[in-house]
Amino acid sequence: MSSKAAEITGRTPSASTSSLSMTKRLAALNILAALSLLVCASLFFLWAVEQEWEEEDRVLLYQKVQVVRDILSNNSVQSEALRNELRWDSLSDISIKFYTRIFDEKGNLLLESPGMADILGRKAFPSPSRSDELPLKVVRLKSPDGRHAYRLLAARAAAGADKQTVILQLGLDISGEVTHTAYHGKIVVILIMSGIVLSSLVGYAITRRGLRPLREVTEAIQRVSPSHLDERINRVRWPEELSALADVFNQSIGGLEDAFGRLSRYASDLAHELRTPINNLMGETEVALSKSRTADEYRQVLESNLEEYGKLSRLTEGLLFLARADNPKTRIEKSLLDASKEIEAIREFYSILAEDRGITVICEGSAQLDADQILFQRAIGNLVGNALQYTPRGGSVTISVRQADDRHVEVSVKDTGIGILSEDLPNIFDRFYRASSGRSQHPEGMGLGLPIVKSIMDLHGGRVHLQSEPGKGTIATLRFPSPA
Amino acid sequence: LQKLLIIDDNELIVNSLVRYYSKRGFSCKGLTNPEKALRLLMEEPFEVVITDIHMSPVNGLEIIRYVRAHWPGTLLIGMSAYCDRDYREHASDLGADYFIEKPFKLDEIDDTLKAHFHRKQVAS
Repeated sequence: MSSKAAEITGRTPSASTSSLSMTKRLAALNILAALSLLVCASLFFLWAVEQEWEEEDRVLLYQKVQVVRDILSNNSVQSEALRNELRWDSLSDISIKFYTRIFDEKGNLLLESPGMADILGRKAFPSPSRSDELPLKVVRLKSPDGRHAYRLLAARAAAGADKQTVILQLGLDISGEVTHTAYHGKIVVILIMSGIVLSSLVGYAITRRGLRPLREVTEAIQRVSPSHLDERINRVRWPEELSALADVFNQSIGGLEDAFGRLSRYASDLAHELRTPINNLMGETEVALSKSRTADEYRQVLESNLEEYGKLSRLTEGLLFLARADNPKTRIEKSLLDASKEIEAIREFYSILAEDRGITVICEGSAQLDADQILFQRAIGNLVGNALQYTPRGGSVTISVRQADDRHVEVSVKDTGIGILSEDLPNIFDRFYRASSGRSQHPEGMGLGLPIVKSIMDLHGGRVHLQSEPGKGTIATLRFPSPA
Repeated sequence: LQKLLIIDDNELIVNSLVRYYSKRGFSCKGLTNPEKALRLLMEEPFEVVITDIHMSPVNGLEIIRYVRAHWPGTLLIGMSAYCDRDYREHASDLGADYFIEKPFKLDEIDDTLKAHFHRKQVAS
């Protein structure tokens, strides 16, 4: 008992560690979820802002293309108006800053914003589309030092009165946007960092709170010990996910309490059953030794002792049998039996006792069954023995066999005895249990006969059923599975 | 294409106005340096000039005076955060067509421009 208690207490620390790691695991998952959400949202935000910028810049570039085309439609490439327009490229002191280059179809440079050649080479630009239709292809270019960025496009235009085709390369400085984007990036990083901290705290708090019922379960389970098997978990305030666990736990503790109770009753019954024959032996031996006896007297004592030894031997043999039958590894040797022959043999065995007691034993019916012959005889023998014990002179015991249905053979032993009280029936198969009537009428019984019958039926995969009416008799029915 | 010049020492305002009017089909230029603006205006005419008043070293009133003197056809819009009456009167004395108080709604300038171009169309 004490080792069992130690085992239960010994498991406690590991149980609390695993619930803690569950908190951590859930908190980590929470953080991960929050983080991935944050990162996705941030990336989407940055992408959306970039899209917005690109759209805005495209409008500016298209407008500039239109301005230049407009000027060229009325003026030559060398005109004052175009030079004024290009002068703006270098004059602009706001972040909207253009670069313009014009060359003819042969690639001869006609006009270029000051300083443009150093920053934006011709090859960086996309090639101009054949048609004048929008949209035009816009590419993004980053300066090698990474501090400047440009959006570039190329278009065709017709210059002067002779509609000479020229190629227009336009660059828009978007370094301001890059600075902005970097700023947004910093904000996003700060957002994610604080998101990590916040979601860690919140995630941990939520998980701890969410798992509180689990800790309560653990605590409730910890209170259970062999001396506190009556502990039950109150499931009313628990979430439904855990109430099933509470039910299962309560059920198994109930089963344990039951088994534990039976075990301790069994031990005390066993001690009690052993005490009587041993006391008898001791008493008789002591009396015999108190003075010198004749050889005849010693013989009488020894014969009486032999009876007690026989009782002890039957008791231990019965217990041993039950212990073996309880072992799930126990196998029985089944064979095909002619049930009518078997019960006839049993009747034969008990005929002298029956005659002595003035009881008629009748056999009826026939069937084939698949059973261990020795165990079968023992089970029926126990029942017949019991029936003979509790049936008054002039009564009868009927052993009958019948094919109950396709899959079962029933063997029943019916007597016209004193019967069993209904309050005794539920416990009648418990070891050492003896019905009150049996105890008074037949004090030398041990209370192992019916438990052994039940064990034998369990080994055969069958069932035993007892039906009784006090004063009228008892029918014990054994239901065996039919041979396949 | 109508040429439009925006002058304000606040770059954010110039940027957003330039983007806004470029979208609306103007050939739109912007400057934050009023001195540079004045030099440019000496060489190049604009249909519309929108200028802040409170600037240095050259203030918006001088720009208004210069434009009115040299480019009589230009639509001149002054804007200022100072709702000082003197400013407003002074600006209109110097020849500003409209005066807009900051903060303004873009609709205000839009309406002014529409009305101006409508009148011009009718006159021609």
